[in-house]
Amino acid sequence: MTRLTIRTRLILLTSGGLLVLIATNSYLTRKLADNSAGMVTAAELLSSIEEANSAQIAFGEMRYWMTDLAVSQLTLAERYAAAARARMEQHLDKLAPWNSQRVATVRSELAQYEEKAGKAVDEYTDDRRVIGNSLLAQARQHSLVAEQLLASIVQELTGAAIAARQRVVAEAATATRISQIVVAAAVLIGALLTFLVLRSIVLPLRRLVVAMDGLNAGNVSVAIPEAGPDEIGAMARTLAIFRDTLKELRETLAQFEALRGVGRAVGSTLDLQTVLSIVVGRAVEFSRAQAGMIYEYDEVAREFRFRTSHGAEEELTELLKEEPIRRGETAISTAAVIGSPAHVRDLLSNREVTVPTLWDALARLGYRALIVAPLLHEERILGGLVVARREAGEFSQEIVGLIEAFATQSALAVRNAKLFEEQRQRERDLRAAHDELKAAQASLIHAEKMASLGQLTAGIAHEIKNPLNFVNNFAELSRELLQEVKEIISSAADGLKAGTRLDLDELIATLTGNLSKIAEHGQRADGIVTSMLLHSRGGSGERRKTDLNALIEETLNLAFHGARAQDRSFNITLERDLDPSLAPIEIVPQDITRVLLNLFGNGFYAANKRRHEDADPAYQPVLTVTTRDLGDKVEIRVRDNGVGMSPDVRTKLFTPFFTTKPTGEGTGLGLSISYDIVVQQHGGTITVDSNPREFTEFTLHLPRTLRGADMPAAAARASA
Amino acid sequence: MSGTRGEEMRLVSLWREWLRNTRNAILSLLVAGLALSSEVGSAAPADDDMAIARSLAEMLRDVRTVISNQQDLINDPNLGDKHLTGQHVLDQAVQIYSKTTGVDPTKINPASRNGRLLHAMMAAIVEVVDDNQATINEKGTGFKGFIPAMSARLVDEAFGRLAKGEADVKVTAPPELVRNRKARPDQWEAGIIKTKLLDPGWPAGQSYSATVEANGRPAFRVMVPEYYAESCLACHGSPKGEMDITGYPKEGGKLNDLGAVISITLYH
Repeated sequence: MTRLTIRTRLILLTSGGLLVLIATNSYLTRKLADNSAGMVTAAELLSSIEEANSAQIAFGEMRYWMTDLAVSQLTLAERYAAAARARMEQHLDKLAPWNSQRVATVRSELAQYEEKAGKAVDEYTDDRRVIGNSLLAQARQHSLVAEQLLASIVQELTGAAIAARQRVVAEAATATRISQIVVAAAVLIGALLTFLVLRSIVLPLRRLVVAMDGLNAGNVSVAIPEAGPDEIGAMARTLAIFRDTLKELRETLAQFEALRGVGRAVGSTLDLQTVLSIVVGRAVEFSRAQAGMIYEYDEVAREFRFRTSHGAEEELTELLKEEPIRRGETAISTAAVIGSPAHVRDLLSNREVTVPTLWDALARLGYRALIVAPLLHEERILGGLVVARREAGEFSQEIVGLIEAFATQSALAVRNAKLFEEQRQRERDLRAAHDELKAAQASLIHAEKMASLGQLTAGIAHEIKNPLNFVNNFAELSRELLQEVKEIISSAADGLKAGTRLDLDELIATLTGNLSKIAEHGQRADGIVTSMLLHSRGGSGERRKTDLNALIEETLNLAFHGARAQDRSFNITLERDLDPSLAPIEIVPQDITRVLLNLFGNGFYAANKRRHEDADPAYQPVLTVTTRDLGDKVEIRVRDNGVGMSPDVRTKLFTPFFTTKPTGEGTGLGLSISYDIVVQQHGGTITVDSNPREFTEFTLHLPRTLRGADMPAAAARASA
Repeated sequence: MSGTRGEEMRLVSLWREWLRNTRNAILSLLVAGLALSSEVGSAAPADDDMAIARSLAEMLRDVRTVISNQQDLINDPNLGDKHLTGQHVLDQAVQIYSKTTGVDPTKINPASRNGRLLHAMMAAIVEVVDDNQATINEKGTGFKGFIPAMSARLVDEAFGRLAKGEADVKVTAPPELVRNRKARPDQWEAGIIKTKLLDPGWPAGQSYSATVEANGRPAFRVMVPEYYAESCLACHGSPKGEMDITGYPKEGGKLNDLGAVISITLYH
């Protein structure tokens, strides 16, 4: 059946069905025609029976009205009798075709009856009743004969009608049975043929659908059903062509995608290792090889150096790393010189294709064929791409072209990477120069400021120092004079009253105490002024071993009282966690004091500000100072629970002239100077940590000696 | 019994109504006939024959009137002997005749042709009424069918016999209106009715007379038309085909249509 086309199969199937249908239909039509004729005959017989019965009825009516006429003499009866007679004639006319002879006999009897009855009526009309009776009796004889004739006609017609009907029924039943058998046989045969035809179509179609589904799912290796001579065969052939085309398209697309992927990788990343790994991976994949490697050319050393590989065994990789290839040796140099891929069809017959150790390894690992493509950029050798296959023989032109394209991409990537590296180096240089310039500029500004501030401070300090010297000197002198007064009084004590002497002793003791305090505070003020003078002289202080805990204690007190002096309502809890084992450290104490004063002052300000802003009675301002001996350096932590600071503020914290205080309250130089003192003068670090509305903590690391300073200024600032 | 009684009373009531209508119709026909008798159309008028014909027609109408007037009595189912004898009926007919014509028919010379035939008519009246005494006096039966038309036909038949072939009187009508086949017009009568009396140009009420051959003998024949009065239409009017009191379908006649013809044949 499959040798026929589907159209032929369907035409044959349809034609067979139609032939059976036509034959059955013709037979039934003929039988229906016969039946119709039989039915017509039966109907005609029934109609004739109807006519005969009607004739009988009309005859009965006629006899009745004739009799009534004879008695009543009413013309109405006469008209009724005539009408019945006319109807009877009509019925007899319709009966005549069936049996004209019998009908003629009836007519004859009817005529005789009518004649006799009419005469009888006339006799009755003329009141001759006896003759009328006689004539009516004669008429009755004819009426009986006519009645019997009509009855016999009805009987015969009924018999004939029954026979005709039975004949029609029998023929219809026979035709029905025959047609049922034929239709059943036709249905069975049709169903069988339909099944076979459908099977011959559906099965190959299903196989085709499976193949199409496979192709749709991307399986280009799907089996295409065998192509027969029919339409499905044509479809199978077309599908096979489609599959092959699709296969080629997919391969082309895959190559294109691979190239695009490589191109994208080249364009999207400047990581040369990543790009080259992608390239060599794709090259191995699409050339159906087993291993690939990329060399980068070192122009200085004039040799090719292994950069990356794909699929290569570890042994081979190690060897490749150890064995650079000098220019002029092996196929890679040849390819670079000629500027196109070198093709090694059989490694075993070409020992000069690479260096001996590498050749041995390749041969041992089973590699037989190689493609070596140079990485070139404007005739400049950048490297080489090698693809190795275990199967000897030639690579197809498509693969060679693809490898060449990959090599071009690799060259581009190498070139980009080199350009990028150069660019990055230039950026680094520029940034360093810029940083140095900025630092110099900042130092210049700071120095300028400090110079003017120093001049001002030095002037003021100098002016204060002179009166202060007077205060100190005269206080000392007064205390000596009081000692002399005391001695004089002691010598003259006998002449004084006891009470007076006690009063004098008390007064002298009080004055001596006061003068001591004046001297003490005068010395302190002198120290401060001296510090100011030292600071104004700008780092000219000398480094000396200093007890840092004591310095912190002294500075903390100074800062606290200074704050209290400015604001009598100011208060804060000062917590000290000072490492008792802290050994003296080599610092410039005046400068570190300035740093500590700044940090404490800022802590007081932040805590006081939070106290005012929150107005929370439960809030207790606290400032904690911690010291730790870290061996070669010392750590100082200053932590307050004030308003804290945002990350944005934190990044600008050590910038000169940056302040969060209202105008007039801060210069913005405190932390900047502190930074310079700690980082640049002492080689230490200063960092800050803070959470808004929680805390701020400064951490200082001071090396024990200047030699111990290991953090450059820039790095320390960055960590801040 | 009460049911039967009630049915009889209803029939008597209907009969009385029909009788009144019939009587009025007869009176109307009589008046019309008398009024038009002076304008007799004739092919060969003969004064004596016409006078005899008028006389016979008048007597016939009179006896019909009497029978009509006595219908209540005749159809009384409760009364046996009604003493409605032939002589009694004749006396009343004579009385009407005399009143109508101003002539006492009993005084007409019985030897004259007119007297002879008129007496034969009066004898026929007596004979018919007497012959039907059993019917008239039938107790328990209401409508007895002894109606003016029937009595007139019976009188006509008796007159024909008593006149001994000298004259015949018959009440006939256009063929389609004839109810009793004895009243069917003969060929001549049917022709006159069709061509003369039913002709739209025929003067209403005018009789037709002619001397023609009848039953093989020369005779003077007179056709006196009678028209439907309003009272006639109860049985002969519309709707056509509806049964009247006698059980006969109405003819569908209209007022002043030709309803009957008194045909008188005087043999020469």
